[in-house]
Amino acid sequence: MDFEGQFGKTMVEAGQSNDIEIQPLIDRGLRRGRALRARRVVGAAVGAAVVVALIPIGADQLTGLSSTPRPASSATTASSGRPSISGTQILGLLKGLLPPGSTSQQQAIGAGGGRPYDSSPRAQLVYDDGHGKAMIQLSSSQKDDTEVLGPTACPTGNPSYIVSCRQTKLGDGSTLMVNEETIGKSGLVWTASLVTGAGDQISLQEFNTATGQPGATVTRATPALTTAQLSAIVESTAWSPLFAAERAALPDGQPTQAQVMATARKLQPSGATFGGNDAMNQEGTASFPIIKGTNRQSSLIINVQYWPVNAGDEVRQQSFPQSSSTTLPDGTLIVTDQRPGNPMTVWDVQILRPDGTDVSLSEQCMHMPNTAVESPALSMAQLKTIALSPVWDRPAA
Amino acid sequence: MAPVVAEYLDFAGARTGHLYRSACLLTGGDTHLAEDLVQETLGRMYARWRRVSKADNPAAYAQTMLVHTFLSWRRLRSSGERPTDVLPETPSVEPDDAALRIALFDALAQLPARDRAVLVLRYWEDLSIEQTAAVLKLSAGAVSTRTSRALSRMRTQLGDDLASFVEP
Repeated sequence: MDFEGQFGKTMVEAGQSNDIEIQPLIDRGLRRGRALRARRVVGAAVGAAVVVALIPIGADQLTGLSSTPRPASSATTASSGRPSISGTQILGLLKGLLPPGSTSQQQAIGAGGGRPYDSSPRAQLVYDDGHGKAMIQLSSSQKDDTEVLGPTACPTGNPSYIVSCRQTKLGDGSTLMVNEETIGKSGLVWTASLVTGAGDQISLQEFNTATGQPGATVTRATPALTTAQLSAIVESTAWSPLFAAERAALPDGQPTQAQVMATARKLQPSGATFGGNDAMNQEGTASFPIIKGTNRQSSLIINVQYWPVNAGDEVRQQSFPQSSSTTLPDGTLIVTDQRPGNPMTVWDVQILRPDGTDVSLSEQCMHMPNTAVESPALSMAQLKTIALSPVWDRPAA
Repeated sequence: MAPVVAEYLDFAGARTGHLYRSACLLTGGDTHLAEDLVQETLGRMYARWRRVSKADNPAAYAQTMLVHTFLSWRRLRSSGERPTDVLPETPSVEPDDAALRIALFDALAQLPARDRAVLVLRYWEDLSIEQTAAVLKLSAGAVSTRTSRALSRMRTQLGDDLASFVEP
């Protein structure tokens, strides 16, 4: 065997010698993936819609939301004449359709009314019928968006995680999918997903854990609602105001990727150079290297969204928990996070103006092994200065 | 969301071990960095799963993403590749598998990152020159040149008679 052949054989043997317990690594990857989505930095994803992960928060962090079930409320019509629906209204609709029980840890994002076009409406809460807490998540979309809804059709083949799945054509032309599957070792998730003849899609999922996360502690043997109850909820006509608001939503008014990049360049600190944008096809997000001297030292990702003033609570719930955010004298909320790490240090700054301007910055700095850890190119003070610059403010109408 | 998560977790369960082994080779045996690379790759796969799951070969997509993540991490701290004009002394190894593996990882660690990626793709992933070129966005000629150069350096590091370490 010649050297090349010997080397190839040795390479394979050396590679195969490295084993690791994969579950912790899978869990780390999932956490990282959820963080990427939650921070809306999936700019590298080609054409991916922004998905804002809903992270459960404590009841003490909720503002303006009642934990008491109440009758379903209807959507409102904005002064523009276009219907919209708030997160609170979606929660009201959902709770009005649930069987008697307590609810907590609610949060939701509405649709229309000037919300970012690609922020899909959704709601989640922890429901307890007296036999244990169960996470319930509702999502809706007008697009064929499995990232938001999960699949709306039964999978082909026989995936190991599927316990049962059936798909039914209803009399009104809708298609209902009811799916039962496992998640992790003993977790269960049951889903009812409806696609109407008009293309409206709504999905309701429930778990036998309080968080719905893989590996979460099981809080009850099975999810709280039967699949028949789940199906009845998604088939309810109560959702028509939600569908109407989604159909009426307009993409107008949000900053484009080019605008964010151009504005970022105006804020370039002396001594640092912002390189070319390398985020792909995600409106409102620019991602670029920061070069100092001749070295690329960090990457900076900037996302800008304009939320309607009356949707401020929806953003606050998901990104500005009271425990870690600060309110500035002008009412601006700011939250920062510094995660030193090897090989990657991440510094984040996010602000929310009283007028709904939401600016988030994430600076990432990689480290090579066996070298001293350096700080990212821009300091936290510089990141805050960029985030708080008035140049991001919503343009006057 | 959960069916998507479950589908993703099935994929991760099937591929994480291989990704980790690839990452160990790419990092020249730095297992901590290898874990971080796999974590980042899995995270990016999850964030893009809607699109990725529709790809013809999600496993190959993940492998490409791992290599790109590795190379981009290298670039962030260095304007160029590691200088390799001064090679370290050839390690003294015992003719057994463990010693050979250590020697191989040490030798890989001395290569420029892109040359290491070429070797991993060609001899671990068993990709053709053309496939390797596609992953690394190089010309086929550049891959051939880098392969020859890297093999030459590996021969210097490991010795001509690698066969004495390889089980028949």
